Amino acid sequence: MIHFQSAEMTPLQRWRAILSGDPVDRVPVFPFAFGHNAILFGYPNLGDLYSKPELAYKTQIIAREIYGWDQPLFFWSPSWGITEYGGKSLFPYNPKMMSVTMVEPAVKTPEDAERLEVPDPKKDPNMIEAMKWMKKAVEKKEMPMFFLSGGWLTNLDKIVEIQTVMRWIKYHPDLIKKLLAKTVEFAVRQTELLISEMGADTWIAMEATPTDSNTLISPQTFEQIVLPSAIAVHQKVLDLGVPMWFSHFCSNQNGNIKAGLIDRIPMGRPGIIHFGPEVDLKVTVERFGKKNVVIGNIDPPSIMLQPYEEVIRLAKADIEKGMHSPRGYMMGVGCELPPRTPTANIYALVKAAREFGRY
Amino acid sequence: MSQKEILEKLTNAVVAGDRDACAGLANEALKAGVDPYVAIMEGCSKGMEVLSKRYDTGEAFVPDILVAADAMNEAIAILKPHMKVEKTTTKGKVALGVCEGDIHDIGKNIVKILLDAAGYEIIDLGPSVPVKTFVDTVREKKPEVLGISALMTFTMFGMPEVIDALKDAQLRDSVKVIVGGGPISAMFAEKIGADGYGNNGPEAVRLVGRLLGGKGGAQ
Repeated sequence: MIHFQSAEMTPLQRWRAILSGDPVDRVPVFPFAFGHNAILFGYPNLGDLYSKPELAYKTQIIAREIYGWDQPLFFWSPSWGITEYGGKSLFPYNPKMMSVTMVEPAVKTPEDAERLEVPDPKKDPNMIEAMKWMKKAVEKKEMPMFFLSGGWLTNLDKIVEIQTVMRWIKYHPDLIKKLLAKTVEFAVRQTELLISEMGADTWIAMEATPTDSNTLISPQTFEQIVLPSAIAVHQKVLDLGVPMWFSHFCSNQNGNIKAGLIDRIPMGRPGIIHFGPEVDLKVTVERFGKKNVVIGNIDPPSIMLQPYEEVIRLAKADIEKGMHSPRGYMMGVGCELPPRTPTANIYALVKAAREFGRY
Repeated sequence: MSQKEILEKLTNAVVAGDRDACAGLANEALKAGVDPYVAIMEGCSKGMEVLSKRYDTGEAFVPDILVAADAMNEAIAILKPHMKVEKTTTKGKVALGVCEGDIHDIGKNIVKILLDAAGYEIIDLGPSVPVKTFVDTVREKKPEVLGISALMTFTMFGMPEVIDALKDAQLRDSVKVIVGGGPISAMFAEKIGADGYGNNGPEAVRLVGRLLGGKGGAQ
């Protein structure tokens, strides 16, 4: 009998194998794609994608089928840690916008900060809707990820205008710490709610931290102001039974890495670690590869702007650096896949994994 | 206190982001008869210059720049009313804005602070600026340099749109266009026909100085 079916693993099989430390047939591909999924479906902007969890769920599944990438499903509350606190947000219905934006902060003064109460995510209809769709993914054993909103300056800049955050680091460091502690509590409440609906070991906690990078703050500020709340939120979520964190340590984190600060953040077993293209993947593998699944970090603008052949070359280079990382590796893009990346260049990632990433 | 001591202390107070010290020293400078223009340029601006160098080498970060600017502005608010008008001429006029759809303006603001401290007149167009506003600003306010910033791969394509619109309006030759921001590179700047690219604030200041040649002077 002739079998025409390929012996290749499916994306979901690959993803689950990577998490459990089992062998995979080839390097999995994790392009960190969000907004592109809406473009793929012909939406003129990203507004619906970020405001309607149902659309986010469906487009992710079909995009994975079309491209054959291995990225897990991501979920988020369309409130994004902004409106729960009383701030105002703007969804990206302007075709030039790429993300949800805080347009009016909940906290403008130190007095507002002192008064700020930790919201109850159970009362947020956006969170309830997001959970409804995430639950479907959990039922299919997708091991999805959920964006938690706490512990980082990146979460704080959804509540306080970012330049105020930067100034208060100097003028009111204790107030910043107090606010960060409130966001930690909020993330814990989000976690408890998710666990009550779908258990603890069926999903992965997720975060992205551009405001905490050394593009903006020093390693000293990171250590003194950010690290205690980052450790707290990670540990508390892990203590609640969530197996691991996926951390996108965005942008330039080289100072924080060199100072040994990232190593102090509990990630779970294994953690999933992802740095911006500013960090050499070789360093990530050497420093974090024993305890964490490492995600590659090809330069996002290059993926969008370079010709197909160059993207193949970049993907091959990422594979060569990462594929023998001890606890597993997924070839990846160093920040969100640029939504308007040409289809051929995204295919180039998968093709490179098939050609150069066989185990 | 001698003039030299006052200026040195003013520089140090700006670097330290000490608003109270800056205010006190500005008053002290006036009392001692220090020319307010000299106090601003050789005291305050010099402080920002020191900090700019530290930022460039990774010894200072965004919070340091912002609080130093606050301190400098505290002193300038006291000194400026006492300045003679003829000494308020600038090195050149620079318009700055972020591409439409992009509200991330902290990078643009750092460039603004450093250019301002270096003696340039700034037209701040803010975040999420429509192409038409960039063009109207060049037509009406005639800056010598137009700085465009973007933090997102989605919004960076506003840059070539502005350049094309300037060409359509026959204004391209009247202004130097410089670009910067997270996803921007020298290669992208060249590809879209910009006149220059700055990787960070201090580099942007040096770039403007180079582009304006004798007028701006190298920083």
